[in-house]
Amino acid sequence: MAAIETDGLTKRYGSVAAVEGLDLTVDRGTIYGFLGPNGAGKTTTMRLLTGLTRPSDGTATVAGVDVRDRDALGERIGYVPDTPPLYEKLTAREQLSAVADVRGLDPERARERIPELFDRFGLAAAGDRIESYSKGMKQKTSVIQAVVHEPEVLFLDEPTSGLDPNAARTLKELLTELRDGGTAVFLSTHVLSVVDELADTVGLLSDGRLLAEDEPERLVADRDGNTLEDAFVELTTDDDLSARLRESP
Amino acid sequence: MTGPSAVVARTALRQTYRRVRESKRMTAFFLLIPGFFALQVSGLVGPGAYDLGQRFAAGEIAPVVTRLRGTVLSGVVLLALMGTLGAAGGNSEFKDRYVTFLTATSTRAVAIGSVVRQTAVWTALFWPVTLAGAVGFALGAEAPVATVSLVAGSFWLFVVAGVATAPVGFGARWMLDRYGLSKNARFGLGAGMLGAFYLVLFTRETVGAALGATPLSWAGDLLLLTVPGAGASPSYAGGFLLATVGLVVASIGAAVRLAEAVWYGDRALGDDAEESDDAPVTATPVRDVLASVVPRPTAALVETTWRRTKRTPKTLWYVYPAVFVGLVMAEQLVYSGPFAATMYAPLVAFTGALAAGSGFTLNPLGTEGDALPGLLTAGVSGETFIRAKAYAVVLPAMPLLVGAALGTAIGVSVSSALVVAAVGVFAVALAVVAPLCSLALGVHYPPGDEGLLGEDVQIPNKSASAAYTLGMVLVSAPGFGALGAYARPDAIAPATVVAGVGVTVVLAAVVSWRAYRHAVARVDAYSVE
Repeated sequence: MAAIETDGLTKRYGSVAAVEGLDLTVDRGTIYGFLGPNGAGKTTTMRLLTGLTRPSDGTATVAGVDVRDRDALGERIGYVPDTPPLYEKLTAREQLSAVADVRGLDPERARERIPELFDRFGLAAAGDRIESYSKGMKQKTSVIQAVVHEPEVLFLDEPTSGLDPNAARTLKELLTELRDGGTAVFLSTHVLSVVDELADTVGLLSDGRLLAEDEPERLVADRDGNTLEDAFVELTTDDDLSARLRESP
Repeated sequence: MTGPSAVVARTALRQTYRRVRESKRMTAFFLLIPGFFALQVSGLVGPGAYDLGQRFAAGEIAPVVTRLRGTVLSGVVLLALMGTLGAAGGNSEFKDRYVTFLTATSTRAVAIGSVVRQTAVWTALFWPVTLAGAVGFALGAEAPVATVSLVAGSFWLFVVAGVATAPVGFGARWMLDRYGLSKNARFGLGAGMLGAFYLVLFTRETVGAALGATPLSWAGDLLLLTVPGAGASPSYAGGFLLATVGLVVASIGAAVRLAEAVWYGDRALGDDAEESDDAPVTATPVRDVLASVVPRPTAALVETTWRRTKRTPKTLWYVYPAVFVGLVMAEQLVYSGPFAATMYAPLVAFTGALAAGSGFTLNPLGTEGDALPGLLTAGVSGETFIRAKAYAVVLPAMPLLVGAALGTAIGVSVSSALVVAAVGVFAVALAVVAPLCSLALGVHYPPGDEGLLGEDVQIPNKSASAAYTLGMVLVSAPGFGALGAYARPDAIAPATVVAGVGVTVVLAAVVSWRAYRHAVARVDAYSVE
């Protein structure tokens, strides 16, 4: 069974379609790089797949669970949104401890795993309140929070934002380990080198529709340029392609 | 006016104005509050300035002038207290909002612009009330010329109070930063100031009499200067004017100096002392105890809510209006009203419950802030979420409320044990229905719904508060009415009291259950749009 499967997934705000007829399949044990220009609908798609936003039309399952069933979905996914979902007044330790309990993690397991992850990301200030953290430290806490329960599917929206090179490398290593362990990673970012390095498949979204989907190497090989950036620019500025997509049912 | 201070003030005022205009609720707040008091003070509704003017015209010169002078004096004190509170509360806003200006022009210009903005805002909010009073008095006294000094003088008092209290506010902020005092201390300072405000409000006649022999009383001469036959001294009025001009100039100078100290102090951006914890894992004794009676995820959410509230007591700001209502009701109904002291007990129960439900539960989703997506994608069901929020209120509020209500009933010597028990049951029922009613309304307000306090306090107190208060009044009315009838000279029988309280208990049970189900369904269906 695919980790993520959508069929005609659509989200409309009034007459504006943020996501239109999205058909996606992401297998377990893979990293899916989700790209697109600003305002393409990536964050809306993430919200739809994590159950935060209700679809207007179409279906989607994540880890075999209908995205409309948010409670059941929450047990199986981890989510790193673009804004770290943290309580500013708590310390990172308190935050992680609370989230572990909310998720029903075994307390003994949580006591082992949380300090491990703090050490791994070098979050030395875990005893300080989150409001005193830099952007990167908040991002580290957000990532740790999303993986503490070893989810089946992990969603990340710009996860390297604010991270120093060491933490970014740690994150990439962690994502690779999770993939090797069978987790499906759905990664949205504008840092194309990260996608190029990690992704097994790349999907390119524009105006709420999937413009292209392929392995990164093939996506590049099928275009005029030599890099993923070239392919991105070519695809997202191809007016004919966009028009054909808009006209397709 | 194109000087840097004018630009800062104008830009800030424009921003405030647009913020108010773009929100129907804030527009209503800015219009209805002064409108309500203007109607009262002018005498259009009930006895007011117009009636005083009529008495003045009828020859009751001395008592009316004494009353006016006393009102002016207590008004000066109230303005000073309100201004200090506003200034102390507004400084954090200054610091964050004016960074753009601080990097573009002098600190002096920004500080003066800030003071002008604050003075303009609260003069616009409250001065129309005194304007209505002045016009009402002049009409009643049939002396249009009286409006000249009453209008101009009261306007000047607002300006003086606004400007003179600005450095006090900066000073309070500087003290808190300089000595690393926590936000709790800041909240305590605010609560103390409000306490002083209400003390002055309720003892205004005493305050007016006490200050009558001081130079502050010259404010009365300034305001009464053109009231024919009021006997105001032009020299005292001039003296007051000169002294306050000096005060305004000195205050601006002090505000600039203190603003520099606040804005550029090393500690300016510091916050509460961190509770650094070197232990590898945070101990959770409270959660552990709670988890012995409720599921652990619920216990974790309850404890998190308490922790956050303790560290951001401002979240409980909306508890305060209910406390104010309680004070006013106590003063109006019992202290100077027709009810016996036994009425204090149901008053404590009702307004205490009203206060308990007026905190973070009036916007349970919004007060989660940025953490909300994390929570909703963590498998937290609507039931877990709503139960946790309700427990977070009921667990501390129930013993406090019941204890206070019963203690008051016993303290004021309610003679019937049955009535004392009824008061206890009344308090229990209201302590349960208050947070649930509040949650059922609060879930309709999404995160980001603007609150008057901004920042981390996202509680929409306006229409939600109104609906919540109405609901609480309807539920408590039978019991409250019965207990009120018991506190009248022709007291009803204790058994009748029990019947009234019984109706409230039934109503509370029904409303609580329906409110709970509604809130849960709403959270389950919540969609980030």
